[in-house]
Amino acid sequence: MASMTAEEILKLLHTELARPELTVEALGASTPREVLGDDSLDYIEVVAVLEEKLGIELDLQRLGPVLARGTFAELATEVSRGLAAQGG
Amino acid sequence: MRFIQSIHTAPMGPTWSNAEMLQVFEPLVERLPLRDETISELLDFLRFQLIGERSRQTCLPEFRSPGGFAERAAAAEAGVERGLLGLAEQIDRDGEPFDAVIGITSTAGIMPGISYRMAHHLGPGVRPDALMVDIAHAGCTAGFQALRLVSTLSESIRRVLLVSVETPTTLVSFDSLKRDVWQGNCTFGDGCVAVTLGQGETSGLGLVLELLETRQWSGEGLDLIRWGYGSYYQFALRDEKRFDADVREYVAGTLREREADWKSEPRWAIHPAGIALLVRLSRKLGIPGNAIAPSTAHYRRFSNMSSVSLLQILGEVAADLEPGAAINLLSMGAGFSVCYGRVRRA
Repeated sequence: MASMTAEEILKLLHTELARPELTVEALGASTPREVLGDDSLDYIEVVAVLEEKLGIELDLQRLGPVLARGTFAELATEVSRGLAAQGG
Repeated sequence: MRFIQSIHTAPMGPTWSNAEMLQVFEPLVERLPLRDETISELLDFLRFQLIGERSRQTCLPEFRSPGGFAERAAAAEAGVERGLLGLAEQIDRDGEPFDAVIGITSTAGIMPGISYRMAHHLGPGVRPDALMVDIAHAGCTAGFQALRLVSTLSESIRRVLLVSVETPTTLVSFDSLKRDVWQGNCTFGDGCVAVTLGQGETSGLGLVLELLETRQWSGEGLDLIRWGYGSYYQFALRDEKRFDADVREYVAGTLREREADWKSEPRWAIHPAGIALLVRLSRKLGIPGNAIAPSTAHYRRFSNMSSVSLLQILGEVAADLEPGAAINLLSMGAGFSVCYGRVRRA
């Protein structure tokens, strides 16, 4: 899998989450809790979808805290870093 | 033909939600002798582990103060007795006495064991010459392994009672510096289940034990999950960074070998080792999302109850099963062991 910038990953998330009421920028500024609510299953689904689309395994130990407290933009940045670290 | 007649559950104690657990954990973690950065990372880890609506039962009289070895062991024993009493009240004493009682626990270090304690509560409901077996130290797959054991018993042993009681909250550790111990603190809940089994003509749930297989990885997988030791036993992992990925590979590999057995059956009872594992595993293997719904619902309500969970989930999935329909069983746990099986409503 080729490397992807945080912006590209955010756009991918925007497509997969299918929230047309949110622009990509608005999604980036939002937290998973604000968009997905409190269901942990939805957080894991987001990770699982990204793994399928990107063809890599994501480190939940590293992403978990971002999912818990960060924004989607921060999540995209962490995923991009993970891709780069895996040689993508 | 060996079949499951009934599955019973009983309460173990008060319920603690994720939010309540986090309120207890945060000030304790902040006082650990760690660097500020490490404490911050551990807190972030806990907040992720405890995201969302999930709860668990505990037999500890005061979860915030579990006490030392004697207090925890006593709480586990009291929890076992409470669970057994609740189960005994539900078991049909008008039926034939049991020819065998199999008790299971990995988390309550007690003697006499579960089988004898249950027989004590059932009185004449257990034959004086009954086969009495207690399975300990077998971890999350012990419920499945017990079903497999039952399926091998002589036909002369007609009626079997299988009882599991787990008290993993008695292992909670608030002074550990290790992330895997805190993961255990977040993951498990207490529970109990009783399964009655018959031989020959089916009755009750009528779930025939059609296929029960185990793949053990005691070579390279022995210490994937193990006990650690502090003031009491503790949950520990060989490598918390690789744990999820390792478990997924063992489980997915085993199921790929058996794909022809499970692919056509849509219903599953899967041990809820964790939502992340369930979701990723189901996607990896092409198991439909609604097939894991009973396990995720169970996990949200009870968390991971070790050997109890699979059997309770089976009871829930089987409740409205049509004759001829099957349920795939999947469990994984310490050993390392992966268990796959199938029951079918007669």
